[in-house]
Amino acid sequence: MNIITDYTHSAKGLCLFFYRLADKVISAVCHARIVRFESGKIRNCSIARCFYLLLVALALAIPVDARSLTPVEGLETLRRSFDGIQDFSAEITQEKQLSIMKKKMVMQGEVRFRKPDLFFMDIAPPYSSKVLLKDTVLQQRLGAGAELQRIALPPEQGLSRWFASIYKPVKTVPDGMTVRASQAGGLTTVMIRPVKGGQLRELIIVMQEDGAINRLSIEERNGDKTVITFRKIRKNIGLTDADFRLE
Amino acid sequence: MFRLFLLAVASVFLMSCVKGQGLPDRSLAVPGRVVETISSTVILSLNTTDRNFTGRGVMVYRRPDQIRLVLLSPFGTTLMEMKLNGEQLTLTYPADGVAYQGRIADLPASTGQRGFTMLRWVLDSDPPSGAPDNGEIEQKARNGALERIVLEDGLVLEKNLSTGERVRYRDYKALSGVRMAFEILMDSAEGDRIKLTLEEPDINTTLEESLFNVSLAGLHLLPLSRLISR
Repeated sequence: MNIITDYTHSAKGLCLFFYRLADKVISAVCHARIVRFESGKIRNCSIARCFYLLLVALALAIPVDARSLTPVEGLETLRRSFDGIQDFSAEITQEKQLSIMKKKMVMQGEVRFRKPDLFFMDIAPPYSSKVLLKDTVLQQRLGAGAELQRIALPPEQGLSRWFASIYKPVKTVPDGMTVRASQAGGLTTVMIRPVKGGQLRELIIVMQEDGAINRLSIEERNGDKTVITFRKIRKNIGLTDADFRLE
Repeated sequence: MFRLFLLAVASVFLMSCVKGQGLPDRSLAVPGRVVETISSTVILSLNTTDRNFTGRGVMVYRRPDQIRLVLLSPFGTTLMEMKLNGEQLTLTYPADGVAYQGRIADLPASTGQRGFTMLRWVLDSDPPSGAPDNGEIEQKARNGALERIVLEDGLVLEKNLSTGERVRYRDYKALSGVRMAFEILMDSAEGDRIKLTLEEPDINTTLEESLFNVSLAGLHLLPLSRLISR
């Protein structure tokens, strides 16, 4: 069975969780900016916003019943998927197909998350990098032996504040986006497209029947594309502080 | 500041003319072979008094003066993009939906004209003919400032301008018959520091013109003269 619904909502005043969630997703790609500091504090950090994008995808690792979805159902599924999660980890493969490169850039790594405010990503060589986000403090180390970079995010971009806002169910699709959902071959696909222009052309999330995420695809308007594949997803495994350290 | 990092990027090309520091033996280099093209992922670090940034990107270069660099977020999306083709410079900021294009000379002074002046200095400065393999030489740079070049084993290790700018080349390796530096350190006259590290570069491969094309689709194109400080 292949059911695809296309839905564009124009209602205003949405204050639901997924509006914020989607805003984060879109913002992660559409409003990315180079990190800037002002008197020791960051003014804008798109990199941090990208974490939300990944978190959205990882949330889908939690099993849900595969079924036909309306756009609202699809978005609500994303929101609900966070319920019951205390922590999780997953191995990832990130493939970047960029117009500036003839070959794909392939990265292997691991991500970890623990409520309410910890996220960690470790990418293996040759593109080694480690990133740790603890609420509003972002730390990263790019390359072997590189210096640790520490960035302070604005309070409104903190992880804990973001998670505090996910308890209201999604009832409408936010303005400014088109959502499509389909089921085929045991896979559920949710596609999100901004109605207007911007950096993001399309975001695709593919889930398996048990709700575990299979793939996340981010396509930019310039044609560049990033595909993140997830595997060995484990949830509620009791991650400790030791799992969230930048050595 | 951005201009300085641009300069750092450009400086990589000079590194291809460089060598030294107990690095690869001269015998590993094919006589007469130089870097014609580079394709590489890079790590770029900027440290200034009020700003710190480290990011990964991808850069392509074709001699003598074509450069394109894309700076990426951890999840692969584009933070910014730069293309230099001779005197023509294009900068894009996809998140802001804006791009700037024009001649380097059109840059407003308030955004740091000096950095781009340095860029041209770097790009246009081949090792002087007749320079010794080891030692220091002085010459007049394109911008009129006095330029001091430190050489070792036939490679440039360091370049200094009398106006205070300095470029240092590190981590030399032999690659495809060319000795080139994989790391460059730049210091501005104001004390800002930029470090550019090449990761697994491919050199002297065929780079199609499309690799240097910057997509302006969906971006509001403005003249370079309207560039604002970022």
